[in-house]
Amino acid sequence: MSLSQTRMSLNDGAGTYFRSRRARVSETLWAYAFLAPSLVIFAVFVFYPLIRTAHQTFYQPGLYPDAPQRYIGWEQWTDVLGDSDFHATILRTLLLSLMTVLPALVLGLLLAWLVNQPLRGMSLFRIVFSTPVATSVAVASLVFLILLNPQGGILKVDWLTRPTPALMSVALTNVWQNLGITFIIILAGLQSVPDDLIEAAKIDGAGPWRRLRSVIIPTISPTLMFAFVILTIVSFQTFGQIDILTQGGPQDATRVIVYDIFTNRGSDPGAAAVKSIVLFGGLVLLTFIQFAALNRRVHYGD
Amino acid sequence: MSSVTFDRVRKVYGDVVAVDDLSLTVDDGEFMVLLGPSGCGKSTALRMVAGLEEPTSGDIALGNQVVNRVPPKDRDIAMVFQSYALYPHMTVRANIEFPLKARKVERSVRVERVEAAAETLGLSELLDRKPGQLSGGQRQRVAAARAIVRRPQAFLMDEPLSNLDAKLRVQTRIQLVQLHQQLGTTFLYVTHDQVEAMTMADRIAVLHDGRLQQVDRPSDVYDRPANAFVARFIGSPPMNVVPATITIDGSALTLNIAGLALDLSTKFRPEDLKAGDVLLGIRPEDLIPAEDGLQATVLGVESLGHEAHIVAQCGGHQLTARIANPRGSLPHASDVMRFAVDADDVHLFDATSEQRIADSTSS
Repeated sequence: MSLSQTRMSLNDGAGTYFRSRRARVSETLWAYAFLAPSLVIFAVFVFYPLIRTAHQTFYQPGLYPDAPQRYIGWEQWTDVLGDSDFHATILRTLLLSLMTVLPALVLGLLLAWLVNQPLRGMSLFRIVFSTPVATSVAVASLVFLILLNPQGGILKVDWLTRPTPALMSVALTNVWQNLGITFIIILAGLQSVPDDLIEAAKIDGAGPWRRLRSVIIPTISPTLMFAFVILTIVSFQTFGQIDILTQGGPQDATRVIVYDIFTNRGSDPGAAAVKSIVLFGGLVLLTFIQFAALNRRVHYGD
Repeated sequence: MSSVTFDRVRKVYGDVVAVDDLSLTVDDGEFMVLLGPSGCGKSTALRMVAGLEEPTSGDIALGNQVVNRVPPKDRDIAMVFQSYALYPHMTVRANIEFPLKARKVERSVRVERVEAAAETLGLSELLDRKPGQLSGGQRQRVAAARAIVRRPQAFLMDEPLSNLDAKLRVQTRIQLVQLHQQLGTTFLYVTHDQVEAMTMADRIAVLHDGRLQQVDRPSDVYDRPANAFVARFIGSPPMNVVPATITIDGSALTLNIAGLALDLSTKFRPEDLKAGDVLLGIRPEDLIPAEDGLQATVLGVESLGHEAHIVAQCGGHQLTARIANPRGSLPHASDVMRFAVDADDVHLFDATSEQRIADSTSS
């Protein structure tokens, strides 16, 4: 073997080493390049506002207009968390959520199940039941404002001016508004249930009700869980319906957390920031709890 | 237990006739296999017995009761699906118990029956597992256990072995035959696999394009196929079916094919034959390499160890010969060789209707 050959093979070894390291570096750079657009969007519209909001929780506005903000630290947190009005708001929000999620889930499942029967003309009902998806919150709220108007309305009921019926009316609007998406999600789940499974249950002697309860619901439980989580988050964020129907009234009966933050924003931005962080943390926590709790009961196929 | 009867059953989907004028009786306690290629209507026929499809016309009866409009749950039949259709969220125990629960059988009876069914199918150790934790063969047995636990009038099986590997399929065939003997219940079994049909059935019903071709014991379907379709469908490799001509001279019946004249008078009667075109059917194992006989050019040879298949060209037609236990040298492609044909092994089919032409061995 000549000297030049030896050197060449050494060079080759070194070349491969440097090439692979260069390749690794450039691969990482490319990865960041591709991530950059979404990172920028997240940074500007999510991370920065979140940090600013967290920061805001420690400050109060100055004593006179144009005065600099005053630092008050954790006192703001203890004030808001100890405020009985805020406790009532949280309770009200939970109540509204409950009155939204359960009926929407049950009705969505029922409608999807009915429409999924192999009968003529079902595609028409599928379209009709999906329409709330294409309706904005404002339109949905106006529809109910007209329906519920005590004078010229269709139902001619005086619900929006009385505390308990007002909250229920908001929940009703919420259910209607979210029924479309719930229906679509659950219908997609139902259509993924193998026909064999339903037919086996029929032959095994199960009637429609037992098939739904013992075979269909357990099979689509991942879908139901997904709908449940989505509905919970959406119901916690209810705002438009309240702004249009009741403005938080009567007597704060429909003042849920997002509306509370909205009305606080000018007068008490620090308190609004604390409530925002509480809402954010609560939703994250709730989502984790739901996944953890339902994960054990949910069947994900094999 | 009861018989299953199809009486002029017809099932139409839009323009497609899935089952056409099917009349067939599965005797009480019989193991009947519905055999045919995919799309022949065999699964539709089975599903009509299950009540999952309604016949367009005609009657389906279990025992003496016409069940056309009886819903599946009231038919007292059980079915094993190709996919097994086990409830994935339930344990093996709950799967087997489900038909009893749905029929509101008392708890103590349920436990007892589930244990018995699990015992019969060797599932006692697996009762607390879920289907996802079982092998294909175990799932298949759970499906069978769920079917037998109710002690129904008849078992329906839709290609229950097609998701198993070849080795397991052989074992399961034997287990199913044992199960049938043990239970003595009517089995109606759908498959496209002739081996399953030949090995398990008391009788085979061959379907093609929605029409019943032949119902017979396996050996009769093999030895006396009712038409050219059945001849070509049963057997591996399938029967050779090629055009030939018949000449009749007084009592001399002669079959002419590719220069060979074969005297048929030992097997056929003059009154059953007429001179002219005919379809000759001959099983691959009945083409025997010889010094004299049908001359053919070898196209290829496939050796499987225990047997070899010789594919050869003869007078414009392809023939396959099967040599059992091939010893010594096999021919090579483009060799010219001859095959002896025994008149007793000849099947004849009408050239236009393709129906079997009766011979003196027919009963």
